[in-house]
Amino acid sequence: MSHFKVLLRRLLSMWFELRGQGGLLSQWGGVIGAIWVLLAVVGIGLLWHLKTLGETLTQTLVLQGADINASVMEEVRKYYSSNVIGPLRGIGIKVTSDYATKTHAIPLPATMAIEVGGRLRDKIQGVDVRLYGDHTFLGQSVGGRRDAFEREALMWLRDHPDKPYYRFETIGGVRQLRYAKADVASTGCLECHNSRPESPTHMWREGDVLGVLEIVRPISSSAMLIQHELQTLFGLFTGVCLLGLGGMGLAMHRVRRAAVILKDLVHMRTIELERAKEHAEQTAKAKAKVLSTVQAFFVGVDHHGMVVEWTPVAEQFFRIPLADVIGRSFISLPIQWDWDKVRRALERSHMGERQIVLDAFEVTIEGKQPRFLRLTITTLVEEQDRSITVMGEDVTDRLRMERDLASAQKLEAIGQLASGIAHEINTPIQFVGDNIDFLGTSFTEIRHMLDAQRQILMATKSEGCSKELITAYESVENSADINYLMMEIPKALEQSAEGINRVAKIVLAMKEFAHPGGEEKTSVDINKAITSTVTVARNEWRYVADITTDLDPALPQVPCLLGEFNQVILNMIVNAAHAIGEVLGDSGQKGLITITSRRAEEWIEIEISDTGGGMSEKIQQKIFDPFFTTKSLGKGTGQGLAIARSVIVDKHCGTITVKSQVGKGTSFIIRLPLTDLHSMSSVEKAA
Amino acid sequence: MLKQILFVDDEPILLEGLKRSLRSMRNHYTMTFSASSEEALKVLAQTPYDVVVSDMRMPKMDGAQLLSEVQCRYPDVVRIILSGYSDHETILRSINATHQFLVKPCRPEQLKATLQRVCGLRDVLKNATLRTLVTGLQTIPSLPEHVSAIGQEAKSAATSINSIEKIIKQDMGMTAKILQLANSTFFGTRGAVSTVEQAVSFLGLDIVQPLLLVDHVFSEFSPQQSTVFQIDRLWTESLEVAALSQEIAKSVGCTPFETEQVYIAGLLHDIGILVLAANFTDRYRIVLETSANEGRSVWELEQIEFGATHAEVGAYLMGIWGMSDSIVEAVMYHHRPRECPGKAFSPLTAVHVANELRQGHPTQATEELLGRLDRDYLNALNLISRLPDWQRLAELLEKGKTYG
Repeated sequence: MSHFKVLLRRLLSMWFELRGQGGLLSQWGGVIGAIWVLLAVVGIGLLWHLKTLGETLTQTLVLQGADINASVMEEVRKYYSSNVIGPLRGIGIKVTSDYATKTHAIPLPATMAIEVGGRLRDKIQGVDVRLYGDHTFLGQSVGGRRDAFEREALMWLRDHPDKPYYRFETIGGVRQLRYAKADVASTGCLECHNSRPESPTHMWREGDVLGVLEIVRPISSSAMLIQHELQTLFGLFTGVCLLGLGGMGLAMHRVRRAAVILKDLVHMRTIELERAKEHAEQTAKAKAKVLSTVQAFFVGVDHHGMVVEWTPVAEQFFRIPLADVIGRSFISLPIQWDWDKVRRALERSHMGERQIVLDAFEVTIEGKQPRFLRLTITTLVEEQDRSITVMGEDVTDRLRMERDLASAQKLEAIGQLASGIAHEINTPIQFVGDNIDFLGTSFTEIRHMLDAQRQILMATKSEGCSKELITAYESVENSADINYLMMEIPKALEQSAEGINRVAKIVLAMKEFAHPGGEEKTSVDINKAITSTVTVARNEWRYVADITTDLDPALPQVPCLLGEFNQVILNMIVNAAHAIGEVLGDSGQKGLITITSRRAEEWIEIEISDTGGGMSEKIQQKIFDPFFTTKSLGKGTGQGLAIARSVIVDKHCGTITVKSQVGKGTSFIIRLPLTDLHSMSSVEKAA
Repeated sequence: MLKQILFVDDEPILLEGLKRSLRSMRNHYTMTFSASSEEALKVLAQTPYDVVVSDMRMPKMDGAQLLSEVQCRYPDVVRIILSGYSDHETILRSINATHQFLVKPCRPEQLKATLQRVCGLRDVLKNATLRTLVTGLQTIPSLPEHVSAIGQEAKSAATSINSIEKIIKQDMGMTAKILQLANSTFFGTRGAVSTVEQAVSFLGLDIVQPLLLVDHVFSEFSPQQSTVFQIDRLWTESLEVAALSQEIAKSVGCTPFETEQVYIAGLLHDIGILVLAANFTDRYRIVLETSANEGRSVWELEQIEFGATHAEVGAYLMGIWGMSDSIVEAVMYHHRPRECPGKAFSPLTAVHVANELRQGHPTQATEELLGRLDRDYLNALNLISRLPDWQRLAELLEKGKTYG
C-alpha cells in the first residue's frame, strides 16, 4: 500500500501544481481531477478484486472438486447397491461389513464407501472421505457423531437433503474444505435397511437421510498455484498501472509545460489583445472626436418612418432634444423646411434611388437667420428592412464664402474698372470744365465789349460818338482778343459737347455693364453687351491694344444672366490686354484684340483672340482652376477664368474652350445655347 | 521774365481746354502744350522751363518716366503730375520724381493757384545753382537709425499706423515726405494735410507700408556727413523746438489739430539746414564755425555763402512739395516774422518764439531775449505779455529733459 500513497501524493501534488497554472487549467482542472480520482479508485478496486479473486477461485475450485468427489462416491455406491449387491444377494452371496473374514461375502455399500475413503486418505495427502450417521449399521466401525461440524451438517442436511453443506476450516495450520452431502435412502437401500435384523431401525422411509458423506479437501496446493498465477498477474497489472500512471505523469508534465507555454502565449496574446483593444478604443475615441468636430448630423429613420437615431449635432442644430424625436415619425418633426421637397426625396429613395442630395436646402431655426443644409438621404436595405439615413451638413458658411468669393472677384474687377473708368470720365470732365471756365471768362469779356458798344450806340443816338469812347472800346476789344474768342468759343462748345457725349457713353456702358443681374435669365443682345463691356474696359486695353469687333448683326437674343456674362467678357478682355502687355512691355507698340460673334446652329459662339504670348499646354490645363494665376502677386486673384467657367458652363450650360499657341496668341471660344438648357435640366432634376 | 510752363497730355482736346482756361494767365506765364512725352522732351531741350505739368497714363512713355527723365536732365524744373488715374502702384513709382500730384478733374482755380504758388517760390530762391539743387532733390536725408527703424516696421506684418507714425514724427525728412504724399490730390485730399497723424491715417497702412519700401524714398546721412557736421544735434534741437512750439500753441488755446500743425512747423523749421549741410557739408561747416567764432547769425552767413538762407531753402522745398502755406511761412520767416504778410497767431509765431527761447538759456533776462525776438511782430500780435509764461514752459521742458 505504501507505493499507493506515494503515487496518490504525487498525483495530488501534480494536480495542485496544475491547478496553479492559470485560468485555463483551473477550468479543465475539475475534469482532469475527477478522471484521476476515478482512475485511482478503479485501480485500487481492481487490485482489491484481484486479491479476493484468488481466494474465491481457490474455494470454487476446491468446492467443485469436492462436489464431483461426493457425486462419484454416491453414484458408485448407488450403482453398487442396486447392480452388484442386488443380483449377488439373489445367489446367496452375503453382504456384510466383515466380508473379509467370511466366504462368499461382499462389503456393504457403506463399508465400501468407508474403505474407498480410507484408501483415498492414504493416497492423497490431506484428503479424507468419511461416512457417518445417527446409527451404525451392521457393525460397521466407522460412524457416530464426532465434532461440531458433523453435528451441524447432519442437522442441516436433514432439512435440506438435496443441498450440500460446507465450510472452510483451518485445522492444524492447514486450510481445508469440509464438504458434507446427505446420504438419502432409496428403494434399494430400504430393502436391506428395513429388513435386516442387524439394522438399528426398520422405520426408514424413502428420502430419509441415512447419513452424511463428508469429503475433506485441503485447499493449499491449488491455492498456491492460483496465488502464484495471481501474483504474476498482480505484478503485471501493477506494472501496467505504474506505466500508465507514469505515462500519465509524463503527459501531465508535458501538459504542464504546454500549459506554461500556453500561459505565456495567452499572456502575450492577452497583452496584444489589450493593446489592440486600447488602440481600437483610442481610434474610436479619435473617430468620435473627429465626428464631434464634423458639423454634420445624422438622422436614422427605420422602415416604419420612425426616428431611431438623432445625433448630438442634430440636437444642437435643430434645438430638439433626442428624447423628443426618438420613436416619432420623421415627417412629423417640427422642423421648418420645405417638407414637400423632403417628402419627394423620401419617395424617390423609396423607389430605389440609393442616394439623394438636396444641396443649399434652406431651414429656419426659431429666432435665427435661415441656414442652408446639404442633405444626403441614403437608403440602406437589409433583408426586408429599408432604413434611411439623413445626413445634414450646415453649408451656410461655405455658400456665403462662395458668394463672397464671386462678389470679391466682381468687386476686384469693378474696382479695377473704377479707376480706369474714372480716368475715362475724368479726362472729358477736365476739358469740359476748362472749356466752361474759358466760356465764362470769354462771356465776361464779350459783355465788356457789348457794354462799350452800347455806350457808343447811346452816344451816337444822342450827341454823337466821342473819340474817347471808341478808344475805350478798342482797348476792351484788344484785351478780349475777340478774334481768338470768335475762333475758340465754337470749338470750346463743340469739344464740351463731345466731352459730355463721352461721359454719357461711358456712364451708359457702365450702367449696362453693371447690370444688377438678377437670379433669372433675360433675353440679351449679346452684341450690345460686348460693345458696352469693351467701352467700359477701354482704359484696360487702350494703351496696349486696339480692339476690332466683328459682330454678327443677325445674332438672335439669348437667355442670359447679363451681369455675369458681362463680367466674363470683361475678364476675357482684361486677360487679353494683360497677355499683350506682357509681350509688348514698354516698347510703345500695340497688339490686337479681336472679338467676333456668330451663330452656330443652336448655339451662339463668341471668340476673343489676342496677339499676346500664348500659353503652354500645361498652363492651358490649369487656367480654369480656382486661384490659378500666372500674373504677379496683387495683379489678380486667379478667380477670373474659374468664375468665367462657372458662369458659362454651370449657369448657362454653355462651353468655354481655349486655343493657344506660344508666341502667337490665345483665343477663348464661348458657346451659349439659344435655349435655356439649364432651366430644362433643372425641371428634369426636380421631377 | 514770364515763367515757362509746359503741359503734357496725350489727349489733344484736353490740352486745348487747358489752353483756353489758362488763357487768362497769359500775361504771367508762357505756356506750351505737348501731346506726348517725346514731344515734351524735345521742347524742354530747346527752352528752359520752370514747371512741367504731365498726365500720368500715356502711351509709350508715361508720366512717371517723363518726370524721372526731366528730374535727371533738368533738375531745376518743378514737376507736377495731373492725372485722372489713381493707381497706387503708379504713384509709388513716380513718387521720387514728382513734387506734387494733382488729380483730374482739377478745377481751373486750383490749378492756377498751384502754379502761382510754385512760380512765386521760384522767386524766393533766386540763386540758380541752389534752386537747381533743391528742385532736383528726391529726399531730405534722415537719421540712419530712423531709416532702419522704419524699414523694420515696413517689413513687419504686425506693424500699425501708430508705430509708424511715432517713428516718422521723430524725423524731419520722413515727416516732410509723408506730408508731401498726403497733400497730393491724388489721394483725394480736400484741403491741406499738415499733421503726420492725419497724413498716415489718411493714406492708410496699405499705402504707407509699401511707400516705406520704395527705394530711396528715405535716404540716410552718410557717416562722413555726420562726422563733419554734428547732425544729431539738429534733430535734438528741432524736436525740442517742435515740443516747445506745441506747448506755446496749447497755451494760447489752439485746437489739438492746430497744435499738431505747430509741432510739424517746429520740426521742419530748420529743414533748410539739413539740405545745405547734406549737399555742401564742408562749406556749411565753415559757415557754422564762422558764426561761432565771430558771433554772427548763421542765416546772415548763409546768405553770403550760398546767396540764400536755410529758411528760404527750406521754404522753397516745402513749397514745391505742396506743404500747407502756414508751414511754408513758418519755415520761411522763423527768423524775421515781421516780414510775413499774416498778422495773427500762426505756427510761425510759436516756432519763432520757441526757436529763440530754446537757443538762449531759458533763465536769462527777458531783456536779452527780447533783443533776439522780433518785438515789433509780437507787439503787433499783442502777445508780448505772454512771454513770461512761455519762458516758464521752456524751463519746464528743459527740466523734463534733464530729469526725465
